[in-house]
Amino acid sequence: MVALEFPVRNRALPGTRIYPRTLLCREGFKNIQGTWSIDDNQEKYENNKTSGILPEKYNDPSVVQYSYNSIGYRTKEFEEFTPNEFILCIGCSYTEGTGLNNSEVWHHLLGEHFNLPIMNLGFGGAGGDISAFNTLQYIKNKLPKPKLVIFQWPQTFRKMFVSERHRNEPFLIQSVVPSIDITSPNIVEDLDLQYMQNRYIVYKELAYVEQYTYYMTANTAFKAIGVPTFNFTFNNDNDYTHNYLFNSLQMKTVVAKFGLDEQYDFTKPDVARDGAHPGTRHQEKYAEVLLPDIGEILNAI
Amino acid sequence: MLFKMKSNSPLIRISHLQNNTHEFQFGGEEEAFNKNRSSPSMDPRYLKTPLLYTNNSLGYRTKEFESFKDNEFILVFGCSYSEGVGLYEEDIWHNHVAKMTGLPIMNMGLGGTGADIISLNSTLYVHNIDKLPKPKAVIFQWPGRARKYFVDDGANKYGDTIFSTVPAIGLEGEVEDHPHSYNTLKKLDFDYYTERYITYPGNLYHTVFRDVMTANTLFNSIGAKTFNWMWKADGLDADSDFLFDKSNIKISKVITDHISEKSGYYHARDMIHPGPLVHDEVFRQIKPKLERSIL
Repeated sequence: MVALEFPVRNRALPGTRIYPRTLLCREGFKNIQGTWSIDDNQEKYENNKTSGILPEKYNDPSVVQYSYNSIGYRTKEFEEFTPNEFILCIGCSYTEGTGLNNSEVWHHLLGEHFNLPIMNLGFGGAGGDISAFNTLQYIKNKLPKPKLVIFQWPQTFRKMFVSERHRNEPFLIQSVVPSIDITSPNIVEDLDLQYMQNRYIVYKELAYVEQYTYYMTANTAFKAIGVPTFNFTFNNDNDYTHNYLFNSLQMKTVVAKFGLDEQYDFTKPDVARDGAHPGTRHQEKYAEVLLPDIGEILNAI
Repeated sequence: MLFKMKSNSPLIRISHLQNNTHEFQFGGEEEAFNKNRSSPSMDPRYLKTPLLYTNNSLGYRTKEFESFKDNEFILVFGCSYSEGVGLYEEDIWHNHVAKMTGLPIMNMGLGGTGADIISLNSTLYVHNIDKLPKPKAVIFQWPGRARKYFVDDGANKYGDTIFSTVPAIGLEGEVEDHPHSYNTLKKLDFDYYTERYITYPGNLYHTVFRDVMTANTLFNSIGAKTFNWMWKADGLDADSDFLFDKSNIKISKVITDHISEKSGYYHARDMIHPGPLVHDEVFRQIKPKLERSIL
């Protein structure tokens, strides 16, 4: 047996359910307003503060505020967006902006530059499968047509699994994220984890083909209705060079590089308030890297 | 069943059938035919006139794609029932659709495939719509819900092809019959498939829903109307219908159980697939819905 490359644990997606007439509903995040969210809670904050990894600006935790809409996305209600006058961003927690104010996340900085509002469909713990599923639901259910879609693709080995349905409730889903340590509570989840651990991340071709399919589906769906797309992945998520299929994809790799003249103190990492995600200076760098490409697409529309 | 996907190919390739005219489509077909030659159930036409399969340059049992004209053909996706395994082309259900509409059929039926392969091929088709002709309408015959492809980490890992296998039918038998031919990977897939995927089918339901939704949404997005049907016996159940019932995608359920061997030549030549009588009945049942929905 090939040695494991990642520890694999479930990434709970609190109460995430499939409703056929809208996007995946993040019931655990619905209408949350305030200092904390499920993924960035006070307990985690206190631990990080004690360990000294947080920047001083987070001594007051209320400097970060969350606001989620009625189906659990960190954005306005969908019907409040004007068709063709906003940028839609789809991705994982790096797009959701976990540990940051929405106004500090890379896409908000782009939106400010181009004077376009952002619909933030960032989904903590999501992989490409969730991004593609939400894309199809978005189009099938005729949500407002964006001017441009930016896909931030998470690491390739994330995978969602669907639990059984109980008491006529909608299906419950969860996502498996390599390297996040949450234990699994039931037999179905154990079977899923074993499969991930022994097969999916060890013999990787299936994951690559699936990821290729998600990319193709999501991009084709928006292009079919005349919406341009832009695709990128962060450097530390970039498995997209490891398979010949990916050669045909248009995927930019984004990395934040700090010059010696930029007074970046490597002894004090630039992290978000949750201690796990890149902080505000990284977000500025990401926006800086993405800006020319996004500008070029918008100019061509 | 093995398929190959190549990054510069517009659709999945069935490499062993590319540009091929042959008498038998799969391994056991010839054996089944010879074994049953004298059976009273064997349609005598198959004994008189050879049944030849002619596959195009990508391995599909249809004309070359470029010979179809935009908006002047009907595109059909499905499994071996639509491919017409064991049948003359004139006996396949969609030949009746062609006669009714006066439009040729592009037959993308692929034996052994499930909704996942149909969804992937639909995505590739729409993605490559600049290179492929645009259909007037698309009819999906959705196969048995439990079919699923896996990808083999084979010798071509870093080459230009990949392999998919559809284990839903006969996988268990294959593993039992050829235990040494199955590597660790296939054993892991088989265990997962039997112990989780079909035993706790929440994932299966979601996957089928996703695949049906993907295929319909993509073709609808380019202005092609879609129609969906499946044999009731291949079908979903109340739990998965929950997703479809609350969606705006309808799948017509066809029941052909009342067509039995007593009705005549019930089987196709391979004595496995349904014969012309069943295909006639399929068309009879979907005809009024087709007329209302896409024609």
